Amino acid sequence: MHFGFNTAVKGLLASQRSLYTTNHNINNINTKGYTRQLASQRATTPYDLPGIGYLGTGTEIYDISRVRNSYLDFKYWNENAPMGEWEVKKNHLSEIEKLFGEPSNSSFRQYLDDFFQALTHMSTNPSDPSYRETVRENGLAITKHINETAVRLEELRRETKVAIENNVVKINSIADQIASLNRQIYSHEIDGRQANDLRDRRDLLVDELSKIANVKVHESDDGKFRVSISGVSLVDHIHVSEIKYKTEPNSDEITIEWGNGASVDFKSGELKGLLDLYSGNGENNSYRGIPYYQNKLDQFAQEFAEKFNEVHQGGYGLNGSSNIDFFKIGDENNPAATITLSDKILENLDNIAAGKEPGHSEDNRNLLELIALRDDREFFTGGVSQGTPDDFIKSIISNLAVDSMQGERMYSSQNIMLKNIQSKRDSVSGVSYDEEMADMVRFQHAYIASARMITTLDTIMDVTINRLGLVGR
Amino acid sequence: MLINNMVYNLNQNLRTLEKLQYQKATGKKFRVPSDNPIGASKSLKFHTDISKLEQYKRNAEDAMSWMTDTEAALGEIGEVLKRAYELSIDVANGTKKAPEDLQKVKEEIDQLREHLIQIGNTTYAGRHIFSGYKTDKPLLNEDGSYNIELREDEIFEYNVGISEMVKVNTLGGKVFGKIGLDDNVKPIFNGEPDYASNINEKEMPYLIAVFDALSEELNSGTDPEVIQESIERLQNCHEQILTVRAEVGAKMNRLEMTEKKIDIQIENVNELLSLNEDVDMAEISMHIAMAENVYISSLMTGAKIIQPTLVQFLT
Repeated sequence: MHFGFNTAVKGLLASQRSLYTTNHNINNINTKGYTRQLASQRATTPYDLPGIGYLGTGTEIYDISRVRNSYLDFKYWNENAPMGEWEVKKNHLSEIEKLFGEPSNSSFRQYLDDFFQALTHMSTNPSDPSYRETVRENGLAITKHINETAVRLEELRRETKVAIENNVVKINSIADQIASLNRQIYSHEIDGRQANDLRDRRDLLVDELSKIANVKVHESDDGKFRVSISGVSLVDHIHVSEIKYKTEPNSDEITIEWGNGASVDFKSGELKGLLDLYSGNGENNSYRGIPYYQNKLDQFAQEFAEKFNEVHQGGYGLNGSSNIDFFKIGDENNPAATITLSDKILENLDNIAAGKEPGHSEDNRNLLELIALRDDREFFTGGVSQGTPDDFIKSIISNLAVDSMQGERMYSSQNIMLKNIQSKRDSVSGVSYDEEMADMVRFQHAYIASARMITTLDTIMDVTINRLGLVGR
Repeated sequence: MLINNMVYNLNQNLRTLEKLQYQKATGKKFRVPSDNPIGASKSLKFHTDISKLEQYKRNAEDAMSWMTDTEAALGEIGEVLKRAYELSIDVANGTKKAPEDLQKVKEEIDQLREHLIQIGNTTYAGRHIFSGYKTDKPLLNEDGSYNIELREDEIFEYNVGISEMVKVNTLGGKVFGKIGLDDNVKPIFNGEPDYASNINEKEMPYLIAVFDALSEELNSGTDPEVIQESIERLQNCHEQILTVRAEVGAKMNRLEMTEKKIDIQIENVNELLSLNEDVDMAEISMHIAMAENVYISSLMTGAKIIQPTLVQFLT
């Protein structure tokens, strides 16, 4: 008789556990990284009635597991890194684009236009101080614009450096957290049961990490969890190899190293994007990062000043002065940030060399030569960007535009891909109200049925114990 | 998951809408070069072209007003010569014989000579137009001699197009000529006047010398032969003035044409620029309407997605 009770209680317990799991699912419906859990139920070992057969002994919950597809995780972690990389690149390049301010009225081209316009204007009346003044002011404006652009590029680069530092710290902190979770999970799972919620937390950390760097994850059969970057392990079970951020004195190079001094090889991820932006100078097929634009700007300032001065020196000012520079570069190592007008020009407007001979106030031949520089196809000769000053600027802008567009496209296609994986993941692991509600009702009914069974057995017992054998009374 | 997707798509639609709205508000197809790299670099060139063309136009206008002044000065010299010619003819014909008449004629000739000097020192915006590169100095001294050294190549040019220059000024030497002086500082009239060589300070302009000679003759008596010579010289001078005027006139014509050409070019480039970066308002409005529809319908489906679940129906 007790046999029936036991079976019914098993049913009650199983329904209860399933209900608890459902409860847990519903409560965590909005928890980030949560995976739907499933209570697996099976019939218990039957009871052998010799000569009759096997009598069922009820049910049991033998496992509570996560509904998760590790292949999707693998895909997600793989695609998240390029997505992080292009997101960073896209954002920074569009910032550089804004910095160059094209197309607008505060762009490089505008300043160059204004300057040459002032020169041409001056050529129609080289002796008038007000015409000379506009040349000086516009000259000053263009140098100020170059200075400002250089400074802002440098600032952007510094910000990138800070971001790199932060990401390194973040990687290490995530690695530490993963290691400590590994320890907990390992000890929880010693009996072979899965520590579902801790695993969710670990996977979420890996999600986060996979955006910063290209990580590979491997879990060995004995439950040891390993996270590696380009083949070198960052977390190996409970051991963490921290990465280090290293700067050389007297150099702005940044290297990120493992504890043993070998440099970390980032294939993609936010850190890769930041490093590319920080140190990519466009040479030897490297990425065109911030240094590339800094170098270009320096080159522009340097050569523009040189060529312009060369012609300017050949002329004579209103006061007969000659051999005077128009532009001055304060620091040879940093031309773009320090280019300005020479002291002589700032001191005295008469020093602007308009003529080819001294003492001729209407002589504008040197000015005409200066103006002709703008259409000089051999103004810039070395390097990739050649031609007139306009060509040079145009080539910078087009490079920037193309790179930025590529960044934008890569980001959005990567984003779509990731969204796709994410939604597949959600469809597998996400919690659905309808499903859980249906389950709830299902388990409730099962519970009620089991309880009913107990009542039935009780009635049977009542009959057997209290009503039977009344004959002798 | 459904909700995630919905929010993502909503944002996507909103971004499209925002982009279109920006285009409509600014009337430009792109705001950063990466929106359209080729278009942006084209725009760059067009803007520069326009700025250059506008400057060329201003230069042409400047050159034009300079030449207009030159023209006026030359015209005035022509008038002076005509008057001197008339007076000389009168004297030669003997219509003015009385000494006081001759004295009056002489005085008028002297006045005309003064006027010539003034014309030679004409200024345009404070600059002496006949003084070559030395526009800060007057061409002639009060006594009529050259005040400055003037080389033949002191011609300045304005930029009125890419490698298109126009010579702006007319040299005083070309108008006034040059004459040699003998030991008594008297001009030597022989052969053709010299209009085309370098001039040194203190040298005598031919034109002034002609007037001096005429005035002197009127003072000392009226030898018809000498008067006749003067008349011929005046005619010569007039011819030269006409030649120079024609030259200036031709240049002005050319400038006018250049100005027109520049105007057309500016218009063309503006049109290209507009084609390149301006949006078609009708088209963009359509696009916006479409994007709005898409957005609204995605909002509507979104509202459907966030519908009651089984939770609401269980009691």
